[in-house]
Amino acid sequence: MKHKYIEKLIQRQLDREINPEQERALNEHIADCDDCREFYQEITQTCLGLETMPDFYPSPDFDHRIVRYFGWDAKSAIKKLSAAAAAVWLTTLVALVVALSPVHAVNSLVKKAPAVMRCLQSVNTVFGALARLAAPFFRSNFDPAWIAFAAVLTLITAILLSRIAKREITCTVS
Amino acid sequence: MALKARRIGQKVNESPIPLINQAINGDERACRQLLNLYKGKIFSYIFRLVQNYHDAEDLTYETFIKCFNSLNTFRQDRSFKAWLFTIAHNTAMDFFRKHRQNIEYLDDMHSVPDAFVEECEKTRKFEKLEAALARLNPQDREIVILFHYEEHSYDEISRLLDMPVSTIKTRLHRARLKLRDIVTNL
Repeated sequence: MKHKYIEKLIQRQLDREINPEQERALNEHIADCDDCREFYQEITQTCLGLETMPDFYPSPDFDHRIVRYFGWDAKSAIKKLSAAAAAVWLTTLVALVVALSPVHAVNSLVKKAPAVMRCLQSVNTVFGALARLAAPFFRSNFDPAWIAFAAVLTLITAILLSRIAKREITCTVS
Repeated sequence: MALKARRIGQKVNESPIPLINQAINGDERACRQLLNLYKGKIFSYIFRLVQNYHDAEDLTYETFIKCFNSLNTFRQDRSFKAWLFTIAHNTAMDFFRKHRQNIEYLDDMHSVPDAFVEECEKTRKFEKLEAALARLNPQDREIVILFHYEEHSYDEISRLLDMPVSTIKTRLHRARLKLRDIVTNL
């Protein structure tokens, strides 16, 4: 009878519902009774083992499956591509403004910033060479280097936009 | 208990409510963080229920799809972990219902990825316990895992399994005795 009661107390302790008085009675009993002590140690060790069992993890591909299902990869790629397209488009706009502006106006604007001046000059040199190739087919009163620069940037914007559209379709389908 | 708290780490103990709100507002990073926080818990729980790696992975996948799709229905005055485990439990129960005829295949451990075998090797000291756990009937096993491994309260388990607390206690007491017998005789 006493052992059955002790077994109940052990279960209560494992249930985290034992009161101090019951705990004292339990401790006193297991200090004297070999059988109950052995039972107590075995069952508490088993439960402690359950509490400290390690976690298992799914395969590394698991996250990718979830990411693909919700199209998170496509969405994040779209964000990056959109930012790039916006930046390129703004640069195109600047290039066109520079191309359409009178040279002396541009010069007076960037005179105070030599670094910007140097940057504009190198762009002008590189794209000037490209513009010379197109010279027989293209006549304009504006600086051809800047028109060539704007054309290349427009091409890059178009490529980025087409990639965004493709990702959008993938995203919608998934 | 303290050991378990240390092992889980601070992150799981922190309230996931801010993350959930961000996830509801479409923040993918918050969704990924929630996934990283709970995938181990959910996968371990389901794996120990179904005893098959590939099925456990599929059911964990299904659980998270359901979770993210219905995140806006989660009531924030309740425990997110308990809500997620309810989804995992229901998903596992649907699986058991579908595969009722082939119940013996639940013990099939073939074609488990190498990385997982290595993981099991590292945890060889828990082999006896895992084997003993596998010998319990699925419902008792689930109660043992939820109470001792996941540290849910009796009330939480009662809500999760839709079962009276007294029944859960009786089953848990019986399961503990059975586990102790199996572990000592293995």
